[in-house]
Amino acid sequence: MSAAADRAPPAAADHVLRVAGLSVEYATSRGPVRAVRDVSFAIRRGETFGVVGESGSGKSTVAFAVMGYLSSNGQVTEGGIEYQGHDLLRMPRRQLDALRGARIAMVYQDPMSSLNPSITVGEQVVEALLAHERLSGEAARKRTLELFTAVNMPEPAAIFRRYPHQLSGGQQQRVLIAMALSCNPDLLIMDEPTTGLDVTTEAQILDLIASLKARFSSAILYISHNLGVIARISDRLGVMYAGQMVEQGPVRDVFRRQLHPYTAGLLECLPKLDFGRKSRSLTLIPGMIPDLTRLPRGCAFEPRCRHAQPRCGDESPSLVEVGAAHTSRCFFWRELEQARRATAGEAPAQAPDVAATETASAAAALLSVEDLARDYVDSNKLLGLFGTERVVHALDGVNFTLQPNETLAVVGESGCGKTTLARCVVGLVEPTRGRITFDAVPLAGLAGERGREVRRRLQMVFQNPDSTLNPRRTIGDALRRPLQMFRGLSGAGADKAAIELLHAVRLDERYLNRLPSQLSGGEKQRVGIARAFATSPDLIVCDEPVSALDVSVQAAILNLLGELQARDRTAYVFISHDMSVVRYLADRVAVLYLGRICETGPVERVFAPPWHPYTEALLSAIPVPDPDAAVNAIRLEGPVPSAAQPPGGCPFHTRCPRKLGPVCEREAPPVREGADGHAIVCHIPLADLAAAQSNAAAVPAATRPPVP
Amino acid sequence: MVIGGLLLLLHTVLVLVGPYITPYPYTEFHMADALKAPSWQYWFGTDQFGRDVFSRVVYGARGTLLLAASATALGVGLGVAIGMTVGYRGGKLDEIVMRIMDGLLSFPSLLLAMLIVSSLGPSSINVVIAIMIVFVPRSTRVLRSVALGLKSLEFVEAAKVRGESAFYVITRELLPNAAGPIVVELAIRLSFAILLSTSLGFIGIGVQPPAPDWGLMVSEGRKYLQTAPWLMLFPALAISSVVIGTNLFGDWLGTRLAVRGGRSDL
Repeated sequence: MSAAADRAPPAAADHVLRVAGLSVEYATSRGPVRAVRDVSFAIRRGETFGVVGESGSGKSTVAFAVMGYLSSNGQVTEGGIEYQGHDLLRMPRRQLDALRGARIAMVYQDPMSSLNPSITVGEQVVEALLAHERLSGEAARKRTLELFTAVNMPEPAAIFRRYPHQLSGGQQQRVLIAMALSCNPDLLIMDEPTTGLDVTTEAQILDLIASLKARFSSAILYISHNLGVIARISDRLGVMYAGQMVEQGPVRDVFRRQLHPYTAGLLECLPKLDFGRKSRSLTLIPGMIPDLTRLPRGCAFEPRCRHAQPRCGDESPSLVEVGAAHTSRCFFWRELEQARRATAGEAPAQAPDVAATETASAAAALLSVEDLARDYVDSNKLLGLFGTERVVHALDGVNFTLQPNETLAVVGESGCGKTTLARCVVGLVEPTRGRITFDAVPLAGLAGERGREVRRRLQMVFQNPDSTLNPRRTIGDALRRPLQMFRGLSGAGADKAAIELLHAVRLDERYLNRLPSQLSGGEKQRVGIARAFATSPDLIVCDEPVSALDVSVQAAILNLLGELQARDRTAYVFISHDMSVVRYLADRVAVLYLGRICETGPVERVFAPPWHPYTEALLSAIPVPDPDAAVNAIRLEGPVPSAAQPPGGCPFHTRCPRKLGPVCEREAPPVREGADGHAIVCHIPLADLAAAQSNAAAVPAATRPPVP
Repeated sequence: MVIGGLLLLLHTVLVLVGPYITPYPYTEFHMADALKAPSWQYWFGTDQFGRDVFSRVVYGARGTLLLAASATALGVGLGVAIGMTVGYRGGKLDEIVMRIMDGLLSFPSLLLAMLIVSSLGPSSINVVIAIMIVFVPRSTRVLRSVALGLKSLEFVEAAKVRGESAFYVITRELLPNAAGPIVVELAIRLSFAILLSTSLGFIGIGVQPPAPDWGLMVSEGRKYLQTAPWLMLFPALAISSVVIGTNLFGDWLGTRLAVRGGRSDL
């Protein structure tokens, strides 16, 4: 096919991609799943169209339909997909192959599995170039190096010769972006390209995409579940729910006036950086996404909608124009808008901050951790004689205390040691050094060596809803076992207590005889929480309990954790990578970097200047769900150093944007104490940090809490 | 699957009702009819003593299959117990036990079985013991890897945080999740056990005459291969049909339970 033919006539150049009335069905044993229904949108050259939705909303199916990569049981039943005036659905296979990868490129979520592990990344990009363009090998190599430079790769020539496993996640994603851009595509589809990455790396990739947009003028279809990312990256967005586009419009307009209850609900249930649980609980979207094989007759969102009227259950609304290029699939968008006007300006009700005074008066610490360290030995010695041995310091001298009924959040990026800390506290991992004291009693290293009473009082909630419950045992079994072990209940008594636990986590007794595979992710997590509360513990260690969940489910779980804590006066050690969640749930925060605490203090203090430079970078990297938020310029350069050879002096000096000079490399920084037990481990005095950080227009208004 | 299932069903029926459907007792001599070709009277012909080959093959199913099944159950059972335990406990115990298993694995199966039977003396019980010993290291390896995969999952960690004993964790948390691999292991081992026991019989150090062991019958029929091929043909057919049957069935189970593909090691 000639290059002239696929570069369509100028008349069609207006829209690079036009999707009209697209419906996709998957044939399954339970009948057809209507994954996408009547979705229409168009993307212009140089424009970024964001598609946002929760899992099961059909957003990835749209991308696969455009690429022609639907799985074999998937079929486009209605509608059309036009690329520069050409019908992609009716295009012959050979023509399509010539387009894909060259004119239409895609970047997937998991960079590791998108790259071939046995070929150097440079060769893989060269391969992509040669497949689509007539180039000599030498020219292709040169182009690849240029592309690596364009995606801000440090040392492109060195990266070229590396294998995928030798690159960090962020670098792998850059390689994929370089590959996608290699033929200067007209249409770029990105399916959650930053979802698996740390927040500081995500910020870099988003910066990169923003700068490439200006340079390459491709149309971008950007798919994400993260409203913050969508606000940051797109010009227009579409919100998908149960296979339908429920609202569509320019980003600013949609974020300012959401005219579909689902969009409004999504934004409301997101924990924000400027308020905590003590001031208000998260607004929820009740219920869950409908079964796509048996869709309701009326509006798909009706069963969960707070504003639903009888009409909503009977007829399915169509998209209506609600503003300039802004459409909503709701009958009552006018009422929504009026309601919004009425409440605008009303400040959120501030509940008196009772808990804070309570924890302040509590004297004895429930948990105290002193100089805790854990090393992992990574040995490839042969017979203990040859080869090398590396000691990885996962935790290195961590100290903190926790009062009863208090929540200590431990935050940090992957590899900072936060999970090791959680596992040391509950006794899954034996510390190499240090002391853990629980209610004035020193704890043995492993749970099995600890007393029964300690085990009853110290429980854990796990991260992964799919493995937290034994797939072969019923929910009832999972709950009855701790009841029997620690409360001596059996038979009807255990059943009764198990039902009470289920009710406490908002599930009913029908769940007792179900297997985990019959539950959704959020429901499994609720059972995991119920199991932890079964022993009426005093302390629960929560290891990223909401990170695998959709935002609306996450909100419900966070509220539940707050409620149960108030009821049982439990203390939490809450491990998380998500600063917004931490802001919402925590009383005190410890920020971990390379196995050491670099900042700790009450949550209001940690989220206000002065910050440790690392905390500052973490906060500024968070994509805020507000398109008008100023983009913060603080970015961390370079990868996280290996915990096997942590940098000398301050471990953060290699990436620190506020590095003073050689002193940071030579000397371990002092602990600088602020008010209310706030402490920052840094060479820069607190006053200087505060001055530098409040001057910088660094922090977007939305993230800056009122300084107490 | 259908073929495998049918073959397996046929043999199971023979094991259950064999003695009631055979036309003659398997030891009954009909000297006048020695070495007769298959006919309506003797369906599979007769051997050198005039014994009915059909009756012997049908009776043989009992001996051969029960022996193989009990050896498989014992070997895999022991392998499950050892593999799960060392996989879950890890450390020094794992290291020591697995090196012993590696030692056992370094002998070819038949050679090891022959060694054991010839040192214990030929008898059905000793054949069972020999096959069991051959199977233990193989099943141990498989179940150890299953336990390794399961033990880092969060529901196992939840049990550890509760302070459950290793016995509880292995039997109540790990074992139910290993059901798939165990069933596949049983099905595949069974066919190897049949081959091994009949091989021992063929060599003459397994089950002793006059028991109607298939391997033994093939071995005895060898002398008459040119004059009375049915002596060898029918027991051999019995062996191959049951082995093919269990293999096909095992493969089907394996894909059905989506555990792992076929295995080629013996």
